[in-house]
Amino acid sequence: MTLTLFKAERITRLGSRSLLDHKLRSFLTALGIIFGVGSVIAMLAIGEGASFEAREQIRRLGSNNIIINAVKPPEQATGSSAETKRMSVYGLTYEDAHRIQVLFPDVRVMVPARVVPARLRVGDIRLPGRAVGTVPWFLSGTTMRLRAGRFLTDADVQSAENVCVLGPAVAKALYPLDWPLGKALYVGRGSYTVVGIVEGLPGLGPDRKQKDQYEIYVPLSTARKRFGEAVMKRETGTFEVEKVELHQLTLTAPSPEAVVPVANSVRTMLRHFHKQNDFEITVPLELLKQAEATKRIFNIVLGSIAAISLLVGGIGIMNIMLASVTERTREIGIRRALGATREDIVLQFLAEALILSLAGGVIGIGMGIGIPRLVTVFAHLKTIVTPESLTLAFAISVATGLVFGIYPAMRAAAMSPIEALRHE
Amino acid sequence: MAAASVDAVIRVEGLTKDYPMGQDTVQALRGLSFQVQPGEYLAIMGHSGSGKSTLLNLLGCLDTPSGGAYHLDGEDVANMDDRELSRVRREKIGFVFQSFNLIPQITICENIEVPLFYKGWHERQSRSRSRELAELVGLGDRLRHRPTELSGGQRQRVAIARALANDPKIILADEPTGNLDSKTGDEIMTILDGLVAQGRTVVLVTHEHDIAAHARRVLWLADGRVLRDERPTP
Repeated sequence: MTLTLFKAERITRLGSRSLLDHKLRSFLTALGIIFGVGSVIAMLAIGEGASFEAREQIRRLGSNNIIINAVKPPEQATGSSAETKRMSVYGLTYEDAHRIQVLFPDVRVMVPARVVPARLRVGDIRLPGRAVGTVPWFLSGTTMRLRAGRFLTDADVQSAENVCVLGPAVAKALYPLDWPLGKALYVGRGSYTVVGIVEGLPGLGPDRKQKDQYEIYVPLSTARKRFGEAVMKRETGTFEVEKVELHQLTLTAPSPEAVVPVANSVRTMLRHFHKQNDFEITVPLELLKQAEATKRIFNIVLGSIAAISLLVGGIGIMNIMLASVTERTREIGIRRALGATREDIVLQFLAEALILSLAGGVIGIGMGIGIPRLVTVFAHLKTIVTPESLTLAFAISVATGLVFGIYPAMRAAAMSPIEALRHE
Repeated sequence: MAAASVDAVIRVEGLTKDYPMGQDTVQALRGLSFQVQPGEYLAIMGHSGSGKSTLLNLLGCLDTPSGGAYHLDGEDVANMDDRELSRVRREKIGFVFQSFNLIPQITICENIEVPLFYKGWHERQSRSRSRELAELVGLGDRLRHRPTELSGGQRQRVAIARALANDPKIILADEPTGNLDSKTGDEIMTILDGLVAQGRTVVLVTHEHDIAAHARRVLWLADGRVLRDERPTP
């Protein structure tokens, strides 16, 4: 086959000419590829965005971390009386924290935290939020950074100072006009002095999905003294008292390999001391692995959908090319009589199929880049269009053109010139 | 006759062509022999079914014979494969068809360029050659038009220009006036006569005596054989 660049260029031009002679038909044919390629890229972008979000969330929890949360144990339904009053005691204890420290000396940081729902108030501004009683090294277990002032200190904890550090978003909500450092903040009746502000994303508690929770951080000892061990919860028709010493413990394993064994040992140890199932161990690393596995399955499913939609697009191309070959039988005969070889005819029709699918691919890529943007703007979902997905989609559209263009092209070339010339 | 065969542009010996027709075979050509010298003006005549279309297809290298030999310009084309036959058509043959056979989607200029396209000519060269040829047949001002915008006679002139594009050894004209009225038919014949006058070899297939009368030699076919080989003296 003497396919020089020059010949390729002329054949390409010949193909585009004949496609442009039937603009609507060409466009409709390419539409299958356009939608196929566009949806592949868009879906991959949404999938990639979701998995990025998941990984980001997990990363925020710390890949070497083991997070133990207190959970309310499942309980039997208690009667049908409208007013229920009881006291539930559950969760992690100071004793647990102490035991872990003694039994696992290689666990680096241990961040105990105690979460108390609280109404924050400054002047007339009231904000439902929560007070987190914690230790000075709390930040090292999160991805948050200090923005201004200082974090809690050992001295704060030792003397149970009435100081607080504002979590992300709190400063703006409570002090819209003021600079909060040194100002007073009320939690219930207690007043606290703001000593610092942190920024970043809070990654605490079982309901950590809620990004914009208003959190303030106070010394653990202060929280214990001010709020006691019991927390009262009032809901419609219910009055509940919960006694929880610690809501969360964050452990940092010395290495990623040690994360799972340490988590398992801690679980066994805690089970031994807890009568009820009132804690939950989260290992971000395992979540990460799960997220990766989910992503793989997601990609396989998307891949199949993509394959089917491109198959449909390809069949559309093949259909039109077959019709075109029949319609242009006479032209094929003329070209053959004037000296075109079978290869010349194959190339001519293959070029048309390829141009069709390539043009479809390019427009589809445009759509595949545009749709995720719309999704981000209107549905507030993170989307990531990776260069790999663009390359893949482009390669697939070329392959579709080749695969579905070759048969009609071969059929065109196989006709005898005499028969073709006689065709009306 | 055999003595002059070295220079003959067409040399046909014992040419046969069989078509399978169900169980039977139809013998369209039953052993034809003749030669055509360069510059000859030959008309092939015969009734329908005489085998003249079959002969034209073989002469035009659109088909291969079942038996016998065919040398075109010294090349044995009887046993060539499709690829080689395409090359011979591209280099040595110019076709003029009864129904013009122009490609309707492209311009006159591009139609004339088709043979050059497959010869691998560059665009600038083929464009100037096509302009030259269009002027030769008196259509220099219609280069940008489409075939459908031309009259029958004009279309056939374009077809003649196209047949000349590759500077062929022989021009095969299959009933070139069959779709034209007698006046335009005469114009076309004048052009063909002119080509012979310039030294080209023209083989004409027709069933009209008036048309055959233009040629200097008439080959009568009947039943797949040469009936008469006449050289009427002008």
